[in-house]
Order: sequence, then structure tokens, then C-alpha cells
Amino acid sequence: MPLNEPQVRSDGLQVEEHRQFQEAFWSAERLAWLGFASVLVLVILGLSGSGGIFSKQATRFQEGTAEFPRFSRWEAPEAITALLSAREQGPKVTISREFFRSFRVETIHPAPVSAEAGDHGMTYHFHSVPGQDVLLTLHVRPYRPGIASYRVGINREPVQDVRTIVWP
Amino acid sequence: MESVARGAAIYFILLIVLRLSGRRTVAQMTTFDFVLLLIIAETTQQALLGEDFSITNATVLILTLFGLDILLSYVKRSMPKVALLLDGTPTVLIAEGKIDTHALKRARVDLEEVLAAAREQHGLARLDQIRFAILEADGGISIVPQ
Repeated sequence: MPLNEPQVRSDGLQVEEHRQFQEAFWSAERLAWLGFASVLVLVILGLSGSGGIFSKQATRFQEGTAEFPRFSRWEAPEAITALLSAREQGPKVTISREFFRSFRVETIHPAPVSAEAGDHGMTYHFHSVPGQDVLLTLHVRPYRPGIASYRVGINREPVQDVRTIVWP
Repeated sequence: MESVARGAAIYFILLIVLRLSGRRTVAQMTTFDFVLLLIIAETTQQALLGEDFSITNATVLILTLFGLDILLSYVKRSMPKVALLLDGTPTVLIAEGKIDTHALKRARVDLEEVLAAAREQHGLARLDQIRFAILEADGGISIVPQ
């Protein structure tokens, strides 16, 4: 008998069926479908970024609040928003260097009056009308997958740690 | 480097998802499946290329995908269990005229599909004219008449 020739069954059909394997595989298939459904539920909840209740994290500062992505996607546009309390000298936002190792800032709205690089990272200075809060939007794009840990500070407050998971 | 990683990741993700979605999905090309295929092709194309539309990137990706295909064909030849896992195995749906309802249900095949295959392959009119019906590893149905 040549090698790998399927055996002839008692009913005369020459086929290698591997029914035991197929039964196990059918069960694995159904488990995988449950897995597909679970992944989709997690995606709807926002665990893959790009929308969903868990995709963003809000951070409170004494002089404002900011919303950062908790989950983000590699090379997908993302927005960081912040509401900065009105301040005579105009609000300042400091973002640590680690942020710029994972994210590319594409646009900032409103445009900062000045941006200066220092030991703590990049500090953006904004103009504000007295008594009026500043709604800030940073359009960013992650260019490296992985976990991005960075620090953010508003005005002279101590900086707060933020972590964003960037999916490949 | 990134192109090779992208190509390999998409190749294996597609392989796993298509395999686990069941072989009928691959074999039965309905209008819906055709639309699905077009959408998958468009989606994977963007994930494969990223923002690099250069000929170099396209060449690297083509070489990666063909390389993986050739590599897997050698792995399958030397390791039959891997071949079984990746390609699947035939399933006998009707043996000596007796219908295996359990296999039909698990493989998500209707008797209508078996009859359609019987008509197309042998011009058979009835179920009792079928001796064997086999769901092949590629998702097609083979008919052996009585």
C-alpha cells in the first residue's frame, strides 16, 4: 500500500474522515464564535478605543478637567479634550515627554499662544478671556502601539499620571 | 520590518478567523458572502499597507504573504496534524444512503444543499439516489450515486 493512502471503510468508501478530530473542532468552532461575540461586546463597550463608554478616562484637576483616551488605536485619530478654568494669566497645560514618544500632536484648538519645552515636557500656554473657561481639544495620533504612560498638569498643579493602551 | 509584521499578523488573523468561522462560510459563495469578501479585502488592504503606498512596501508584503504560504505548505507536509488543523478533514454526511443528521447539523449543511450538489454533479433527482455525500475539506459537497 502506498504511503498516506486513505483506508477503505467497511461501506466501501475510501476516505480518511478523522471524525473524532472533526467533533472536537466543531466544539472549538462554537467556542470561538462565543469568543468573537465577546470581543464585539468589549469593542462596543469601548475597550478597543474609538468610542464606547470605557474608551475615555476623565481626570480632574483643581483648575479644570481633562478627558484622555483609555484605549486608542495605532495610527487612528484621537482627541484629548480639557476644560480649563478661567485664569488671569491664561491657562497652561504641561504634558510630559513620554506622551510625545507615543503620540503625534496634529492640531490644537484653540491654538496655544506659546509652547515651550522644559524638563517636565511641553508646556502650552493659552489665551483666555477673563471669566471664561477654555475648552481645549488636542487632535493626536498614536504612532507606536503599546502602553503609553505620561503625566499631565494644568497650571501649577502637581502633574497627574495617565495611561493609554494603544492597540496595534 | 513593520511591513513584514503587518503582513504576517493579518495573514494569521485571517487564517484563524476564516478557519474558525466554519468551512461552509468559505465554500458557499452567496451574494452576502461576496459582499463580505469585498469588505474584508478592503479592510485588510488598509491594515496591511498603513500609510505607506510605495512599491517597495507592496513588494515586501507580497513576498511576506507568499513566503508564509510556502512555509506553511512545507510545515503541513512534514506535520500531518498541523495540516489537519489548518485544512480540516472530509466529513461523510450520507453513507450507504443513510443520512447522518448529527454531522449535517454540526457542519451547518442542509439537505437542500446536498440535493443541489447531487443535481449539479450527477443529475440526480432524489435523495434515495445518493449513496455517499461527503463534505470535503474545502467546503464543497461530493456526491457518489447509488
